[in-house]
Amino acid sequence: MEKLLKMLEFSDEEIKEQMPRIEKALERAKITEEDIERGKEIFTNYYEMRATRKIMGLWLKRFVDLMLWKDEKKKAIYHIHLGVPRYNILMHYAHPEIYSDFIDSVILYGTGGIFGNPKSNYFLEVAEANGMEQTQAQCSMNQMAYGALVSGFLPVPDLYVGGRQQCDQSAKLLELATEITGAPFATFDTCRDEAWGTFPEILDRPVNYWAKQMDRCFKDSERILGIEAPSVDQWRQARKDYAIMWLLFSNIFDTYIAAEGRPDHTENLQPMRWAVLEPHGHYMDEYKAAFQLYNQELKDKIAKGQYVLDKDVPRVSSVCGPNLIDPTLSRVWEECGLNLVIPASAEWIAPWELAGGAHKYPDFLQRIGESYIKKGYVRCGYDHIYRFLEMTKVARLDGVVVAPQFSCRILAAPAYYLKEALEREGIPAMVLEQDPFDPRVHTAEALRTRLEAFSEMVRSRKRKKVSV
Amino acid sequence: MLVAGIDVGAATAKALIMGGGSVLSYFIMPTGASVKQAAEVVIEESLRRAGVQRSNLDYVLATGWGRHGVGFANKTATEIWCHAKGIHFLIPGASSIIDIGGQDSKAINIDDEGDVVNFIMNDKCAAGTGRFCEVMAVILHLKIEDLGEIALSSDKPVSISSTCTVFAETELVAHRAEGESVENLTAGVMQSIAKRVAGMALQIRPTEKAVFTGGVAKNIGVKKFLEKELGLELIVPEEPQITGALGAALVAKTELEKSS
Repeated sequence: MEKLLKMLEFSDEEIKEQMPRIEKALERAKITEEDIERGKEIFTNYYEMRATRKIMGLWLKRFVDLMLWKDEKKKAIYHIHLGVPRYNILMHYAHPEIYSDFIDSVILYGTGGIFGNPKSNYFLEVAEANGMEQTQAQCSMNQMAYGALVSGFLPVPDLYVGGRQQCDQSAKLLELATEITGAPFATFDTCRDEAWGTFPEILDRPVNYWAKQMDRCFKDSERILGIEAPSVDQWRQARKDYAIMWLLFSNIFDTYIAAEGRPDHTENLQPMRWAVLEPHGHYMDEYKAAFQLYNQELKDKIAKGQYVLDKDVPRVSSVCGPNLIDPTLSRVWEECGLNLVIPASAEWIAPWELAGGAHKYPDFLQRIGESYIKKGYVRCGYDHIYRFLEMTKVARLDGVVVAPQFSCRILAAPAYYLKEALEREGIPAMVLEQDPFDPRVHTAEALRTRLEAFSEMVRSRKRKKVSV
Repeated sequence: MLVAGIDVGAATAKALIMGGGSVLSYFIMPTGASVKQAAEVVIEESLRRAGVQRSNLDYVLATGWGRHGVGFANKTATEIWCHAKGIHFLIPGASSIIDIGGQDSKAINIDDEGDVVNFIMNDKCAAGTGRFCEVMAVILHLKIEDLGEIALSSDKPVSISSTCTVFAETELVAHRAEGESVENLTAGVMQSIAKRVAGMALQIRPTEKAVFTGGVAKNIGVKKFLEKELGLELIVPEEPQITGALGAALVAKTELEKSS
């Protein structure tokens, strides 16, 4: 295990200090020597960026925390995808005695990401054996959380938290989790029903609704857990930390966009993307440092002219991005001759978001609602499409692989509208049904045919454009 | 200049030998359990039929689902690209291709140079493929090659789910128990495949001069229902199963010309 920890950029001091906890957690999680060997093989063949390995190390730390919370903390909150990132960051500042984290992504990376697919597939299969079939109204992140709960892999928490802010799946899962384990849940709702064409104007009604819903969710949490409300300063710290994290992540995209070719292998960015969507307050400084290191590593490669893909390779974007934990599936994109400049639109900060300046609303909950609404993809299909059209210009994209998680309520529905809108603007687009969390959905070969054909098509169009 | 195109699909493997820009021979057989073995057999038999030695081949290009398993190929290309090139050669001016193979179906739009401008492929599911026909033929105790003709005698095709082979099987058994005629049952199956494929193909808006390829294109029943669903007349090449291998041979020829 020590060798694997070194591959994950653990320092000697950290290994010495953390090894008893790690061993205890892995034993509890039934991680075997065979799994550890598989992990070493993964990190021998993939993830050449040190920063990515650090991020994977952080996922392992969070997994260890999850496995040991019952021994080390007084209470626990399990967040379910899609939840409230700032809330999870905040809990560390306001109530460090409470364990609080996104169990689905922590399990996804802590098992499958580090030790290979069979470990995370287990939770998907347990869920299926217990009535939650693949694709049946739940995304596979929810399926994974359900598998972990129904199998008794995790101890029962004191509270579940999730959002209805983009779809109803996590809220339905929370109801189910409460039914199975008896622990209560708190959710918040939002409204995504604004009038077509409202963008970019932000209306008071949805902002106020978001703020009230979040307030209700936090008050429910405080009541259920019997804890004091966080102070304004703690909220400010959580918001500031999260904003910095996003800005550092945005800098990475700026580097990718400016680069002539692709400096690193495609799988490297995948574990980092999810850390932005589901972060943890305790590791915020380490995340920030890893993001900065990642950008520096990219710049160093560019300065030395080290490219994995050269400048002639088509530049593309996606919707959900490639598989998050299986590097062989991520690598297929570049093997097929596609430079995935922006893996997922949701994680790209548009220039107008940064140029938007000061918040319009005074209250911090309104401001959180305002920030969410500013990011077009959570508002409605129109904004999702608008965002993509702008992104193709800013990132100089040659095409878009519209690849949503196929049962995603938000992203799968507008897939064909998006394809049509892109094609009307002369941007080649292909719809690819996939699942970034469940590696069983596609073999590398099934992906390869579609991606290779798309790559050939985009190259042909580029050649003809040049010759005209 | 002697080139070969090999198309190893999920159901059948095809090889085609081309010399001096003309087709010399081709051979089709079930892929079976081994891609490598199927590729060896189809190339050897095609060479035998063409009366040429393997050592005389200047370039081999492999396509299809099993293309990466063809160890002796000089290069690989996707079946989407090869179908486009093959159809452009066979039917100049063709603008759309509907291909229904053993395990997948696809629709491709091509330009006047035979380059792909848009395409769509089925994902994850065998409904709307040759496999669907095979499963249904077994249930109906019919030979797969007879399905099309039988379907043409139907006066009222039964309604069958177009989204899932497993559900469709259950529905078919239920209709049979209700006493529906074999003609109506068979036509229901054909209509179901056509609806599934048309639903997918219409997303890329196939245009006039559309060509129907793949093993299922030999089924007159599916062709009829597909034409109705698409609102288009479909052209079926003389041998619709070899267009991928033909395209592979044409791409091989281009590659060879580029390198010489």
